Amino acid sequence: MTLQEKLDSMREGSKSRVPPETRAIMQRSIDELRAGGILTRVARVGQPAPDFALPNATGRTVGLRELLTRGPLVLSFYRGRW
Amino acid sequence: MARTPRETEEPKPLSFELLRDLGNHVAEAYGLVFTLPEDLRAIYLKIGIDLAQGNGDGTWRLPIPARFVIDRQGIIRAVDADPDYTRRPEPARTVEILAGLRGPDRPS
Repeated sequence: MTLQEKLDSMREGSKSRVPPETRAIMQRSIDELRAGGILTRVARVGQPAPDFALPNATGRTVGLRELLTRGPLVLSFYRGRW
Repeated sequence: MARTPRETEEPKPLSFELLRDLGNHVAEAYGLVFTLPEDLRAIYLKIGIDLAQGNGDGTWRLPIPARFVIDRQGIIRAVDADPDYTRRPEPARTVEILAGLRGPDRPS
């Protein structure tokens, strides 16, 4: 099963727990973000990756350049538990 | 080296870095940040999610989920971002992109 298949089944499952009016507000927020053009502001293929230096799980600061010395980098932004 | 049962039970260290973007500043540099609308904040508060507190900076800002693949020269080679947080890039596709960056003819 692919990740997206799992996510789709979770989304279907949530429909029985989340009231329709709540789901409508959640969906509207997503639609408004898309309509507002947020994707046109996302960093693009071919651009230099914006530099950063952030603390890791042990509190040590880790920067983009250091990570790139280990090889190509997958940079994933997520939000806590979801 | 002998290991005590307790040591054996300890989780292995992660093989990747988990970085904390307090204030969403890096997410902002990558163009991902938005502020949750009032009606959505009310929903989250009702189910016990106080994002302003959890964020630690008093804001109701979040990044849209996104995945970038960056080559060794620091150039972005693949982007996947979606305001719908139930749609995420397929890990197998990310592995394919990484394999492509190594070049087809170069022995590993």
